[in-house]
Amino acid sequence: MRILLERVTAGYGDRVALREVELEVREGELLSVVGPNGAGKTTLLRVIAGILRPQRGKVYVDGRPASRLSPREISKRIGAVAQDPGTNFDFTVEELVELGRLPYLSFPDRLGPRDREAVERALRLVGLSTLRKRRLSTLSGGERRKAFIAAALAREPEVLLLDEPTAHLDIKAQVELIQLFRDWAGEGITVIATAHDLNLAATFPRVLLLAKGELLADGNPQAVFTPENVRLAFDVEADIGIDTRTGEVTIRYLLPGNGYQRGRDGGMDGDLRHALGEKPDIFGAER
Amino acid sequence: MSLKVFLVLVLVSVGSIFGAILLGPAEIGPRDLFRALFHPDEVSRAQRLILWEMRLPRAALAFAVGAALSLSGGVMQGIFHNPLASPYVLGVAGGAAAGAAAVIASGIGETIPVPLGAFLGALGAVAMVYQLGKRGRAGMSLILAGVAVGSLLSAVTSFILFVSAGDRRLAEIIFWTMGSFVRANWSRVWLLGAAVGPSLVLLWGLGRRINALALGDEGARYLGVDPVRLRRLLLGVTTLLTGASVSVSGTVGFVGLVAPHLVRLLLGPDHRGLLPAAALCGGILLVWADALARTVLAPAELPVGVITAFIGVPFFLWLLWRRSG
Repeated sequence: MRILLERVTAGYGDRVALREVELEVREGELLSVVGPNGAGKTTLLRVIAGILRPQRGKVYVDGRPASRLSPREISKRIGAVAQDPGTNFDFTVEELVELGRLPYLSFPDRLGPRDREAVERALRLVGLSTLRKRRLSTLSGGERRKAFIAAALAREPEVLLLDEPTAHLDIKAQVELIQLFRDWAGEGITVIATAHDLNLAATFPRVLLLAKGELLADGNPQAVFTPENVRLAFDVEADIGIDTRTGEVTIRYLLPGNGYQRGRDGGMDGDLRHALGEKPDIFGAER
Repeated sequence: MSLKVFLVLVLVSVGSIFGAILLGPAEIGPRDLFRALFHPDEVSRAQRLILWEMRLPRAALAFAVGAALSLSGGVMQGIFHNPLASPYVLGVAGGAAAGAAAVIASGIGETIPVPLGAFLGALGAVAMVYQLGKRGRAGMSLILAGVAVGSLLSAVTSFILFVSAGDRRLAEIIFWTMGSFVRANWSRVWLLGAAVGPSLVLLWGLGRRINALALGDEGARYLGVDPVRLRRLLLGVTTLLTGASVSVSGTVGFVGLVAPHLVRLLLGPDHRGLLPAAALCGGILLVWADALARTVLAPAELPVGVITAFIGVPFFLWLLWRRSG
């Protein structure tokens, strides 16, 4: 499934959260989206998932305008997991994953053999088959996150949108998830995940850097994670290293007072304004 | 859902209804009931009348009201993500009573206008509580708004009946604000049954989507579920159920709170199993609460709301305490 965003501007009421974003995502790509809080990461996912209509610009899915697809049609093809997913009730893993089939069901929402198969497969993909009868409250943080991802996978999506899938997880769980994403991308599922940890984001072959609703950089980690870009987006000084064996990019944040001089002009607003040729405008927070 | 638990609940429901109709001032034993069922010629006309025209419709009505209120409570807890929600706590039942009382005072009629008035009153209360609750902090403020609106509407009900019901005013006020099944008859049973039956099927079929609401609005949207539309539909159904049950029995509190919780402890939170089981459980609870209300101070009758409050309020406090602890 190919996704194309054409000069997309989106927001909430008067507040613009995403501004003139141009983006093309091909089948089986693995993308991370980074940027400070309020940069528009979540809004970008919402626009792609079709639950937020752009105020201006167009979204195309396989060349067809997404606005012509029903929310149900889109939710069959795009699986998404919200930030810090949780439930107000203590469902079992299976009950949760079965919810993922809802786009295919209609009243009274009974699962057919085809649906059971998909649930089965989703549980297997995240490695939770044996924990299916367990209640969510009895799982570890990583297992719980996987259960929510399995619910998104149960609809056999072509695109998986994950809002901070690794937040609050221990390192082992993070590494496991990244490995799973790579496997799935290999099978042709596009994975787009937001992240706060730049080093984690740098393990994705393609990175989108957002700042104040604008797409500041888009490319491989080496191209995106330059000291300038990190300063512009996050107002933080960073040393960028490249692992000579693997070619992986590593980002080390520099703390003030540790013997480095920050740019004379300093603050992000000035630099960003300059870089974007914009008048100073506070776009506001994401939510 | 666990089929076994469900079957047990069905059996207990039937057993409760037939057990409860053995209780009362006229001595009727299990043997008389058996004969009345299978050899109706061998029992007296008086016994038949007491069983089929007085006690059975009363037990059936108590069961149907318990089922309706518990369904409402279960759905409300699901859509407001609040374990303390129920038709009584949210003031919806109070609104229904005020609506019914207003219709009675206006003297338009009984059979159709009273349930209609109850439904409109309940709808008004829902709208009020929802608007007030949205303004405050999440969760707790909805309950506070419900309690405040409920108290106000209960006062409105009492006032209307006090000025309009003449000699019967105290009896009327007690009936509408504390609930009772003294006015049970078969036509009321059918009226309520006609609301509960289809609602139960509808809500059971929507159970999975109600589950999806527990993921939050964004999570539900990602599943292709429109949370706003679904909530509106569900609120409509619960309001209908509450209005219908209040119009036949006044406001009976706390059943709608307790039954869904008991079932959740037993079966888990999946609404496809929870809602039908809560309906049965609420029915059973209210049949026995009414049996108690009729017998503890016999020959006098307690309003059934007194019994349910004695059971329900400690339960409510336990939930509140467990939640903050």
